[in-house]
Amino acid sequence: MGTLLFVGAGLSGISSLSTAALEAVSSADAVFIDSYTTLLGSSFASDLGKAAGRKCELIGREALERGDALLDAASTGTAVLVVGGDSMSATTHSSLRIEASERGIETRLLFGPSIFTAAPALLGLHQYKFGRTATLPRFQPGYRPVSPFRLIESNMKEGAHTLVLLDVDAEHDYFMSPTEAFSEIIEMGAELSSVLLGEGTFCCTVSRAGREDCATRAGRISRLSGEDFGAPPHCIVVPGRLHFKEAEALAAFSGAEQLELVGLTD
Amino acid sequence: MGRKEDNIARATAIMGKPEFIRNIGTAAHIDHGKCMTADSMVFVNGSWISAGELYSIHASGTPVLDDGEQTVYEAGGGDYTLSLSTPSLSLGRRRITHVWKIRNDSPLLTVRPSSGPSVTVTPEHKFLVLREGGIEDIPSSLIRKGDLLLAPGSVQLNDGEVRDESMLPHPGSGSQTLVEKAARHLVAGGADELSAMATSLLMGDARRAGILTSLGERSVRAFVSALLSEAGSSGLSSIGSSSLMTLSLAMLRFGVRLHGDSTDERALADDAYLLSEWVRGGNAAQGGFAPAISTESGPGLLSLQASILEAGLIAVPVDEVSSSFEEFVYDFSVEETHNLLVNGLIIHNTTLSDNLIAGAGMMSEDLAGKQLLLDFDEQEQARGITINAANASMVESIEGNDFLINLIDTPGHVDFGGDVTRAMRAIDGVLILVDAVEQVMPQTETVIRQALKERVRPILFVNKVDRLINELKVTPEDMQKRFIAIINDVNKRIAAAAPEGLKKLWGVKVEDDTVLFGSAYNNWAISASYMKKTAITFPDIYNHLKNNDQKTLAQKIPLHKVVLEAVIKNHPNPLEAQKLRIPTIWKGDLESDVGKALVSVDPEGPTIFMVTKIIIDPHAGEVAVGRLFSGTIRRGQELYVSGIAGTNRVQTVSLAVGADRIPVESVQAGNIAAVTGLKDAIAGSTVASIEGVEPFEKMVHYSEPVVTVAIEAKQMKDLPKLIEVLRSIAKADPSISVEINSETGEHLLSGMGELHLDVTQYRIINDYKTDINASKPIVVYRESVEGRGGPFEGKSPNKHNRFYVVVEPLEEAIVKAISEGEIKVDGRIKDSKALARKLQDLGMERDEARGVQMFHESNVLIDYTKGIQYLFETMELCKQAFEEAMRLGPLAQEKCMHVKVKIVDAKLHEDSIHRGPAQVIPATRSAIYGAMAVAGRMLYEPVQRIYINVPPDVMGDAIRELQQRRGVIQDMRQDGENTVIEAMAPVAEMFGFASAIRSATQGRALWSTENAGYEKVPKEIADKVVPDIRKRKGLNPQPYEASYYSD
Repeated sequence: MGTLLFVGAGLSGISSLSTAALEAVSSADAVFIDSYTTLLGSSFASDLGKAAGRKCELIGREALERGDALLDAASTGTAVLVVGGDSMSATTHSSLRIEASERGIETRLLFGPSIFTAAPALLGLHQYKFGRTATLPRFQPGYRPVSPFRLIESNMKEGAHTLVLLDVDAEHDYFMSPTEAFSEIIEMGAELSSVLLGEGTFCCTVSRAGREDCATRAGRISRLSGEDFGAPPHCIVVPGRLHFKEAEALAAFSGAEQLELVGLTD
Repeated sequence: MGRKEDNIARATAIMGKPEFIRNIGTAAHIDHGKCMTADSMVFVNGSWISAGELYSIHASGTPVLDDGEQTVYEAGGGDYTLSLSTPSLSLGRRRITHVWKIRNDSPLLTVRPSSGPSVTVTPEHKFLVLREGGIEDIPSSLIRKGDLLLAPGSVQLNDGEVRDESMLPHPGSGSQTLVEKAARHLVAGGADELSAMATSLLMGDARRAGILTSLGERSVRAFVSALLSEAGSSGLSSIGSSSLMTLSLAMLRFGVRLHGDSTDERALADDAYLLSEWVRGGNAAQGGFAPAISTESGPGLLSLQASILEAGLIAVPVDEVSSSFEEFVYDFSVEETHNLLVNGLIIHNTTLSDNLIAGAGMMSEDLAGKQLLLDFDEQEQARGITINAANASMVESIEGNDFLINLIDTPGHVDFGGDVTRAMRAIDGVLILVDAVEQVMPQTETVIRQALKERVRPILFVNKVDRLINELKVTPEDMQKRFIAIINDVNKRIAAAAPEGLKKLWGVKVEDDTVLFGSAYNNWAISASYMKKTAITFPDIYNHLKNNDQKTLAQKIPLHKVVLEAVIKNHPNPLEAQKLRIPTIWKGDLESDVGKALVSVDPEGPTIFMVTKIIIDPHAGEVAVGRLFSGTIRRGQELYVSGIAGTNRVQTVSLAVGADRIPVESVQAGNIAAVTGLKDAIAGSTVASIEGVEPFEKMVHYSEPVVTVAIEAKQMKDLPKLIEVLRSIAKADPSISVEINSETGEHLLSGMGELHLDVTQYRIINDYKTDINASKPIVVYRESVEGRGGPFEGKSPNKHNRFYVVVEPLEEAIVKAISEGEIKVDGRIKDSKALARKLQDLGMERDEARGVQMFHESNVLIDYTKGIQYLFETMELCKQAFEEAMRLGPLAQEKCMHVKVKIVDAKLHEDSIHRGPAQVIPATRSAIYGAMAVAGRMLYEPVQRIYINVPPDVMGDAIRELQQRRGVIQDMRQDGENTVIEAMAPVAEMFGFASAIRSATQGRALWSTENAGYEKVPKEIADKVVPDIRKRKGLNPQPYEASYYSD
């Protein structure tokens, strides 16, 4: 029986791959790169191919969800699935792992840096103050879920920060921008008559975490909405109560204005 | 200011004052359809002329009637035909008063007599038939083989004047005569030349009578005799059917009836032989010749036969009745005797007074120039445009007040197009015309029922009172008795159809002018008020009619005055009408702003316009005619059409529709308006200035199309045109459904049956001049389930969401309530509590009834879960999956029916991004398909109920024909000598039935079909059909097993 290796590629292209990961890629019988759950960058596949001296196959959403190709490769030899960020942060990967073990395939994980740690780090927010994570989906006919907004609200009431991931559809070249996320927050806030969500909500943005040109911003939505956040990927953080050190960090690294921070600190 | 401008100004002034507006319609039992095909030969002025030609001679200038369905012109008065006066049995010259061209939408019947040419007519068209006890008018649909048709024994052609007799050598003089040479030449020249020359020689037209018509009898006889013997010796292959027709009509002058349709060589040779033997007025019993009167009947018939023979009439037995189709048919009015000579047979006809309905009559010539907005310039007045408008607006002044009367004529039969029904929506009052002689007809009852359903107030107009005296010769007492009988009859029907509260109130009474009497055609009417005003009594009217003086009546009690006064007095104005009607015809919230504006006819309210008819105008394109219930409609306004995203811009607004429209800047609530620019509107659309307005109630429920053909343009250049044409057709005939595929250019046209699609294709080719290729017709199947299946687990592609679904057949009582429109399945569920109560009453379990999420036709989606977090967020996606699964069933991607889909459980991912459309829709769909596979998928096919009326000797053939088509006989009963067979058969097996039953029974079976829902396809047939459909749709031949849907 073979082995399936989940490799977290981290946030900085092949430069964030561990040497163990690179070795695993070089020696595997088959290597697949997940092109669906996150954006690894356009040159990632060829960079990895060069670095590891082998051919790597990009695998899209449908094939990933079906899993046949991967599992077949893993049942006879060693297969590697390279994913962006950490190896287990997407639902698809965890179901694949279960399915693999049901088939008697051994699974191993090689970790990589993830947005779950990078976002607090870049913003200077305390990791242990984060509540449940939310994802904002783009609104479609018949799909305007309220639960992510309810979740942000309930975290805020607890004083907890919310890491808000933004919808990605790499196959259709769609990446939600913070501006779009803000307008959803304003729209849904009004719809739900929310006192917490609206133009006055204090938000932080993290763009291109782990890359050289990564950038963060913090401030009220009313001010941030007008800004250009540059190329994807992005995520946002809606803070709950701020420790004074967190407030200082937001002012120092993300351009939060003192007035905007009033009332957020303990 | 000219008169026209003045009248427009007056109308515009009243337009905003609803209390001075009346929106009315007229409805009469119209019996048109007594018509013949273009190539039928009519006897006119001593010669034969084709119906099409006779019509086109007179079809110039202004028609007296043109409503899109029929066009009528005056015949000028110089044309005479031969007509039979039935009581006296005398044939005589009668004037043709009007010529008709009528759009036909039913199959035609060809009646072939044993001798002489056949006649093709509409099924309603009556022939004069000799029956025991007298001569009867029998519609062609009821004519059987062996029936005796009346015909003149011989026909006098215009041969009084012998012009060129000397030019022709004497026949039989030994040397070859000129006519013999001519005849030989004609036969040798082949069919085309023969046909053309024979036509010009023998027939000519009514004006340039053919040479032979002006020749002496001897010469003609010589010519025809020579022609026949030539033809007889050289074979008949060269003689076309039209020259045979020509010949046989010419021969009628000698009392000889040839086998018009026969291409049997010997038969014609026999005729030629018999011709030489023929003695004028001679032996009637000669084989092959009419009259073949049976002498076995009773003494009554014998004496009748005797008098018929004296009158120069013969009776020709019918050989065969068969069916065909033509787009247009023709008719010619002969007053009084109501019949004329066509193809040698005496047939009934339509007279203008039969047909001119009140709308036309009311806007009589003397009105033009005064009340009509339409025709004020001299030219228009001269052509008497008055009655060719299907809709018209008039200004009538009564007691110093101007009233605007918007009138919609509701012509045509009450057909499946539902024209009359839709017109009812626009109007508040209706004049119901009842023929004093024919009295209340079945259609009258239909109209009364429709009017009351729409809360439209009826007024009774007893029409054609003159016929009582002129034709029936009733006494004054009888006349009164008849009137009372009609009024009682109408009131009985009103009481039966009216809702509580209106039963008494809306009964018609002479005293309050809700009953009028008169003759629309002769331009007079009388009401109780006018009797008082003018001191004219029934006895006075009786005397005037007796003295044949209707002119005086038309002056003293002019139709329009009497009628319009009664209308103004009794028909509700829009303010009163909408208060009463809106709660019935609009199911939105009456307390909302929209509801209040509708009830109060608020010109400042939101614009709400209901389209009742789409007219395709050659210049303006599609014109939407309808009733403006609220607000003001303006040029340039952006309006929403119900069920369509985005807006349409109003291009023009006008007051009246017909041949002319009077453009105005705007029209206010309470009027009937004609609007262009509403490109998405169809008949029945609700058009509004605000989005999402509750649409008006549907007026007509159509059954679903059961047959589809794929069509494509023959020429590349017609590709875009065909799409336009199909859109137009779908708008004009809501029972047609069209699926346009611009990518492949192959469009799907679905309709009620094979014939319906045939007629539609015919129109595409002939009316719209677009050549098409059409596939063979395909049946539209349905899918359903046999029993209960599930809970079946459907997984999302990311495996993190699971839906559990149970399916079962929907309760029959609920299916029935849906098909009867008792449960509304279109649009969102408004009052879910009321719906749940109704469903429980019909037998649905309480928790199911409360969980109903939506309907898709007769399928229902139920949320049977309790307290599942996030499920409400994904319910819209579940609905999308349900709709998709019901539209494309699991067996063959046909629509599903009668399926109850219950979501009984669901497991959802915490994060919304992992339960989006891409996850939930496939998961729910798999669960539904899987559950259906477990429950047992069934294919259903449309079935038709067939009625066949057959004579005993071919009954076996008819039954065999049905049995070969999986037909199941349900009932057989006697109808005179014939048997009426009632059977059910699948539509799929009924293709080509028309010609098959005709040949099986020699055309002696009369039959009709109606769609009768769906039945299970027997398994062994379904096993064949399903792979066929799947292959046609590019799918794997076999449907998937349940296990396929659980992965």
